[in-house]
Amino acid sequence: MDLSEILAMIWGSLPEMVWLIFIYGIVTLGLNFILGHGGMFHLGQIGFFVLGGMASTIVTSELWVKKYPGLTPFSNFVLGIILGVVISILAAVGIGVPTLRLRGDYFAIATLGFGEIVKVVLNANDDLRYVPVPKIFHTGSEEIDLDLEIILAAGIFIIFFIIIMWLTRRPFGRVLHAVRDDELGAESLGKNAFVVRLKAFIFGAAMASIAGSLYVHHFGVFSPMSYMIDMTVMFLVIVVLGGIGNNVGTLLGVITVVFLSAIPRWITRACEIDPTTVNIGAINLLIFAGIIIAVMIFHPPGILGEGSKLEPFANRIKREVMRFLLGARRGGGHA
Amino acid sequence: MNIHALLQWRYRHRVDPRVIILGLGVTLGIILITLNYLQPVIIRLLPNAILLGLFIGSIYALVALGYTMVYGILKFINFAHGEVFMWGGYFVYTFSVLGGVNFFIGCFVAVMLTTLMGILIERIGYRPLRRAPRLAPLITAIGFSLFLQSLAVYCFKADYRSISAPIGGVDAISSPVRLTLPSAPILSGIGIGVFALCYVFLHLRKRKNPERKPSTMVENLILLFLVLFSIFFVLSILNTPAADPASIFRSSVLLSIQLIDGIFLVTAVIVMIILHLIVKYTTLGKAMRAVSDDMDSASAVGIDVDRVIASTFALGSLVAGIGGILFGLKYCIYPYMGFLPGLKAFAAAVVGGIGNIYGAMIGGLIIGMAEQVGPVGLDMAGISGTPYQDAIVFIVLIIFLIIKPSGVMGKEHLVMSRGK
Repeated sequence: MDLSEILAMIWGSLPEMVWLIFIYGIVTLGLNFILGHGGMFHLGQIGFFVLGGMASTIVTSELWVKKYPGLTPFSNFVLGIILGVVISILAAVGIGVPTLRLRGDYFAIATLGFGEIVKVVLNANDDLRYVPVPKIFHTGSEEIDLDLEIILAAGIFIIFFIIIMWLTRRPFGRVLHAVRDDELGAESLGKNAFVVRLKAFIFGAAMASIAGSLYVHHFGVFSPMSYMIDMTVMFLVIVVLGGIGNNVGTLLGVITVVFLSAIPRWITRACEIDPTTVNIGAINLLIFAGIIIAVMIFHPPGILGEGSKLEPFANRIKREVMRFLLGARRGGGHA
Repeated sequence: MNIHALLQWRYRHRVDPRVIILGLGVTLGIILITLNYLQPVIIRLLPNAILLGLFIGSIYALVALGYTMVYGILKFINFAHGEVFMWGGYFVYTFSVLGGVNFFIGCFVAVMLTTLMGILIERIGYRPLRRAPRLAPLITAIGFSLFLQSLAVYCFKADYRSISAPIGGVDAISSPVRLTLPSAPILSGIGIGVFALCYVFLHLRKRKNPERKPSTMVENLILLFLVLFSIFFVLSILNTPAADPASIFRSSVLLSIQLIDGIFLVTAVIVMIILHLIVKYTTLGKAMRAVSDDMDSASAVGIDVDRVIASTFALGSLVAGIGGILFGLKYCIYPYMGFLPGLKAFAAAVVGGIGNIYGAMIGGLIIGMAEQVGPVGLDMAGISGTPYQDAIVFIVLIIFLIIKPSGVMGKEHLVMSRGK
């Protein structure tokens, strides 16, 4: 391949990557809310992602449409999102109530198990093993309308970004931070740590479910086993790399990780290596694992986390942006 | 009714454990006898499932030992432990199957290498983070777990491989050993007799020497076995053909156990005994207990904490390596085998009481039984149970976390979130 072809290939794969950035962005914002703001070691975000996909698949599938022909595809899609959120909230309560009173490790192992068990249980069900999903966002023919998907995902991402920014400044967010930093202290001031944590967990889980509902319509098929353990780890890498507890950092983390996982693919295609001879997935994972270990040992705050050298700089940019957007009225107060 | 209120009621009124055992036994007996009438075919699968649960459970117990020892000392989950277990199998594969080294030498080298792996993980990943926030070593552990797993995928591809070729293939180790035993009613009758004698003997000794404190644990265990054998006795009597009661004396039970299953159980028991001796009687064991109780004080009285922690990791990884080889001999090895079995082993550690090595054995047996007996139960309810095996283990874990988060033998303060 010469240079122009390589550039064309990279340019061609960009829209899908932008879409992926927003989808993963929604999931990891939720994870960051749970892990960074709430201090709970959550490893089962993938489970809620799958549940959201499952709900959307069921509601938009041909069988359902045949049963309830009065509904339009769009209302079915919205119904799928709502159903996914409801199921995810129920699951989150089921996991959270027994484990959130205990030490963080129990929560970690319960959520990790949950993420895997959801896939195994759905896969055991004949009706859910390999289901065709209608592509709702299409341009008349079979082609998917990627622009529409990107706009939808970006819109939801931005809405959640604003909600979380708002929420962390509300009393709820401050209590959540207090519980994360000093549980005994927060409880001695009369705050119920368990309830605050459970609420934060439910909120983050619902976000993953919504992202799952959007994600599944891109591929035209729903198969629980196609959601690998790699995804759990990728979400964790995004949050850890970007800086635990920093929402802008999470966005930077998503962009980095999506590009990082695309680069080996580009290289193999540019050098015309037979993709069956090298295991791209394993190389990606090795890189991710290296990143996690290196970040935790050498620079625990990540790119933008608390204590990172870049943090004051980022805060200043944020302040300027806020001042620009909101006028001088509220500027300066946001650090 | 709130489950916590129920538990508090039980603690306040101090129900005798013997009453609980008898009550559970009677309930179980009634359930089994009812099922025996409703589903006479499927209940025949039960003894087999229990045996299999015993064998699989001993593997989980071996892996759970590593989790529980590390948790007892460092108070965090070593997620990479399941991957060390997996590499135990892969080292044997590399040396003995690919390299052609004698199988037993290969096993020895593999176990040494997993030990080294455990020490290295601790040295590189966890030691720099000893004073970091609690989340940091957990995240590093996930990183190591992923690193070792994807390394295996990269080196060996995500295929299933067998490691039993150098010792004659799967047939040689899974050849059944047949035992011919007297018929079921006679067997359970003997069991009842033996345990009843034990019980009487215990009480006679207690009466003879009232100063001596009776071991309630042993007494309860004997009672438990007595109840179980009685259920078995009633069931087997019910299943003998009414027309020919004399067949009790003529017929016999043919028990067939695979060789490898026997090796599982024997290895697990031997490892448990050795670990017990190490922890109880050696200087290292004493130091381990001291570090587990209070790391700072232990270091103040001159215990080399770093060395003790490294030895804990070495011991746990050694045992995990043995477990990995055995697991690979019975099934296959594949890069993801550290994940679900590892998770189940951790569940076993929690159920048995984390931080307690005897709890790991009990927890392993409970989880193994749940995994094998649970599907049979679902079959009886009319659902095909095998796909839900993993979910059943997970549900057992959640139930334990609700009812008794400290596990069968654990300590309460290790578990609650406030005991930071």
